[in-house]
Amino acid sequence: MFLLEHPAADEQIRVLAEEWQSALARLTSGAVASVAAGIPLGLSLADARQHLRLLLDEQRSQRLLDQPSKILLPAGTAPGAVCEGCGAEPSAYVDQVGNETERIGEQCQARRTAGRDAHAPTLAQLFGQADLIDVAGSAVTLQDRPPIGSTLAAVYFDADSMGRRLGKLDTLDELGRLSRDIGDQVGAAVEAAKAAADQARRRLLAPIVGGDDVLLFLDAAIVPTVLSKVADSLSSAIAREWKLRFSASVVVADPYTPLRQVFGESRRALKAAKERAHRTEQAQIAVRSLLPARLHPGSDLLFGGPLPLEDVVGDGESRGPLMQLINDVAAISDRSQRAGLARDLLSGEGVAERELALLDRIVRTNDGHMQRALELARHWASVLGPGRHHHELLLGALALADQWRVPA
Amino acid sequence: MSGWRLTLTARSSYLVGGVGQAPLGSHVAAPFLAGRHLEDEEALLPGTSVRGVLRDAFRRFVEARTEWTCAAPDQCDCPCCRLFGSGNRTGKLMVRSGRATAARDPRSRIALDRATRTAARAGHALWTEERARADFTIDLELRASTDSEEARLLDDFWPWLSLVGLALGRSKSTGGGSFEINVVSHEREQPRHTRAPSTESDAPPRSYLLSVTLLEPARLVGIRQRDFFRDALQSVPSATLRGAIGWAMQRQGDDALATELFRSSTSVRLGTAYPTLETASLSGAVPWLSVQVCRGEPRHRVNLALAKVAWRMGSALQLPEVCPRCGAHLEEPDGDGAGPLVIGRTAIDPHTRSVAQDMLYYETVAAPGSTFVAYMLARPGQAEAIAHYSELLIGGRTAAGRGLARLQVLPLDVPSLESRLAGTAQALAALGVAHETIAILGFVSEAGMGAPLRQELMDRGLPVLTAELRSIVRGGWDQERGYPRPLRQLISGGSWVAVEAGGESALHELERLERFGIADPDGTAHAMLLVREDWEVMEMTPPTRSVAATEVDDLILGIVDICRQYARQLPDRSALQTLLRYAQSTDSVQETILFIRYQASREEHGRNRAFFIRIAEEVERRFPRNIEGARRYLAFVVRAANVERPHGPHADATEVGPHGR
Repeated sequence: MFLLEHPAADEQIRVLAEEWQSALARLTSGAVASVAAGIPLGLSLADARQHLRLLLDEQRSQRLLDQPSKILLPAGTAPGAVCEGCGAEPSAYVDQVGNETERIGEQCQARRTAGRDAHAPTLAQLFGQADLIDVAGSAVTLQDRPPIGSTLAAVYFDADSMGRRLGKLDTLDELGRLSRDIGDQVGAAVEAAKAAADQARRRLLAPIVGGDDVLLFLDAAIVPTVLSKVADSLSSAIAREWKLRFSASVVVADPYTPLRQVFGESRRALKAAKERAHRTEQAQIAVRSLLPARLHPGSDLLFGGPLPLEDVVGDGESRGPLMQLINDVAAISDRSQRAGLARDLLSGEGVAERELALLDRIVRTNDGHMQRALELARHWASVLGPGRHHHELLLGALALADQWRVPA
Repeated sequence: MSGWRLTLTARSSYLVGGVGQAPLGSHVAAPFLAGRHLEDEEALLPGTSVRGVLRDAFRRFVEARTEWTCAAPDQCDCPCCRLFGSGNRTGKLMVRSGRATAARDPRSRIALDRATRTAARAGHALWTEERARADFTIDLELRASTDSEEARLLDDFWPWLSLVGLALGRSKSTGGGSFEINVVSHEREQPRHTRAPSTESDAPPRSYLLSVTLLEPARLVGIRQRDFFRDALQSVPSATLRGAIGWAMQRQGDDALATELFRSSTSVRLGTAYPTLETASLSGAVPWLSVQVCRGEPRHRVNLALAKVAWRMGSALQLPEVCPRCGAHLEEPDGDGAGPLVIGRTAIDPHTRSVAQDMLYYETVAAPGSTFVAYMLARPGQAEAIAHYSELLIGGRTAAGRGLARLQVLPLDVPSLESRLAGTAQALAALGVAHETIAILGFVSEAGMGAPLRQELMDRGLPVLTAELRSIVRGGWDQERGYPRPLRQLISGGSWVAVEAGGESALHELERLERFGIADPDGTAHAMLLVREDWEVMEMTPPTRSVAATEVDDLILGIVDICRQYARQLPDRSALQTLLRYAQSTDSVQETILFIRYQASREEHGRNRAFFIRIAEEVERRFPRNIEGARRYLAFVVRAANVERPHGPHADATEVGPHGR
């Protein structure tokens, strides 16, 4: 959203929209189109945002109203002649991905070229791969895949209630200052995240850094470290001055899951976090897993819903209950007992049966970590309030214990 | 249609591909159909696995009995390839998947270093498998008639197979996946539909809801996103549904009926089938744009389309942020129905009869148990004919245990067009728009447009006022011509368009639109439109807690109370496990009770006597004729006594069970 002060705003909107569209066309070879709308600022900013959203929705619909169905691939296109990247355009180029070749279409080629020109890290580089490896003293090969068993994560931060906050500003000067401060704040947070990743010999992909949004793709193992750095950076003095509050989502997935799908889930999870933040007046984080396993129900949020961000990243001096819980669960040294714990929590016909199975296991194994995890989960659930059961917290911690590396 | 029914009785637990990744702590797991909290643990025996082992056994049988040698995967015309198919041909035999209540069988295994004859220490030496043990019934169906050679070979093959049994999945050589097998000839009971629907061709079409419940995983593939990734569709396109019904008729020899129902001038109109939890609701299933749901309890569905129309007509913007009924915050709906299921699969090298190199992959399918509903406009006779074919095969890989579904046709009450228009006018008036001739047309199917939608509607005298449309990309496979259909950007179901319906002929045109839709030049995605009337705030069906779960909770709380009451007289764990083992060794509840009383009478249990007698009384009262219930009760007693025993490490805990102490 842009705020234009010039009297000829209509003309500026037109120019801006055209330049925006031509840049998108260049970067994606026409795969992505944009719409633009403007309204005079006689309303509150919050109302203006709602009006603009409706206008943009309407313009998107106009395109479909005024054109017949677009054919992306004609009938009879052989599977071998389809882009291996998106499956939605004819293949035209041969592209090299690591050690393998792919036949891709014009639009995918344009997108990849734009990414390479911007020196965006490859998937393997996110996991610290792609260093040159000396094989047998002479030949040199390039690791082009994430290590087996690695997990990709998307971390998405966004400021809560920005529309309402903007609506309360009195002057355009204030708006400009807030806009700059948020930009600086978000920029600093991304730099902090990159520094944390560097320290862990990893890289980050930051496809969205703009306004109050930050989206990062990274190795799931370093999520706890990066989360705490970003959260720390976003709660600086400037944020406190403006009373900014950032909620977040984390989605973990197989590294080869299409990023579009991971991004879609991140947005949905972030929405859930922001909904809860709105009700509780506290920054929240929602964690979702797309890993195909019993402990990772893709359709539900882990932990039974969003968690207070502070419970995840800690208060700066001590770690939050989530990290403690993950640590306790990860410390259960006997993997078969962890598996049994998961089975206790997932099977059974009611809460009482699951609880009984859990207690019986603790008594039988006399495992202090399991006992501590249960006590912590119970206490945490009581703090989180009604509607959250400690079984859900334990299940979430079990799911992430193998994915997140909690810093010492 | 003839076929065979295979009854598989487990001699050992099995482990095939598995569902997605293994649960935590296990390295690999059998395909349990897992919800988060299952009431019954059901395992899947994928038809792909059964077909694979049947094919392998049949190939060896054929090669031993005849001169044929199977050359698959190369071009081959041996009886094995003709019946079970190969890479480039579809076989005549369809093998269904099996589902059955199953027991989990976790196994820890260790790899031995052959040189040192001790546990291999290089890593990956210890692993845990979660196998399943269950008895299955698998149906095999012939989709085309067999020649005399094939029929003779099959007739000889089944008795031979019954003698040798069947082994499938992993670790076959060490006894895993072993089943006794009984094969009987199985004629499908479904007779042909005899009454021609055309006898009622003069009756006006009416609205129906078509409900499809998956009995097997269904492979509804979306477009390829990377070379290795194909997502599952969240809905069943109308062309797929129509093809599935037509094929069900064709398999019964009713080709003419299929043609009459779907390719005549009076053909049935079908919408897209959307996943739902509310089986009798169309408005609850179609993912309408502008509909939001509240976060209240119960949740409400609020339609904001009219507020948008009113704003377009010059009224002030009145988009509520909270539910008008309960005040809870509104949000975008998350979608309905079960999520996709990810099944691990391997390809077997026919020469080595083991997993081919790099051939482990995952298949995303719609989960068995999911229900989809679609809008259907048909004459009563046509609907009756469709309802007659209650079993469908839907989506891809139907020959290998994918896509079996149950079909139901339910009448759907749609108010008259006039009353729907009047309802819209009234709702708009409440928003400050005095306009009585606005109709909101909703898409209940995906729609391919040969000409722009605005022009199509204008040609019918229905100028567009505003719209909310989204696009969706759909392709497909033309079965008849054997090549891919075009990949197109269609208007997605759930889109809507507001039109001015004020002219004299407008009512007539709206009726025609509802009846005939807008034709798709490609013939696969006809637009089906309904004039909407769902402006009321609707309460959504709340998820119900299962009765079984509540009963189990009460049962356990009762046991915990007894254990606390007798806390100082609780027997040790081994004594209680003896009761459970005894119960597991007999089918008689009374014998179990007698054994508990006998234990109570023994001198060494004198201190625990009162507890034993109380447990015997409880078993007699609660499960007089239900040995399964008695076993389960005793299993809970073992655990609860363990937890409540005063010397246990949990003695100081402040809470037990969901309700605390």
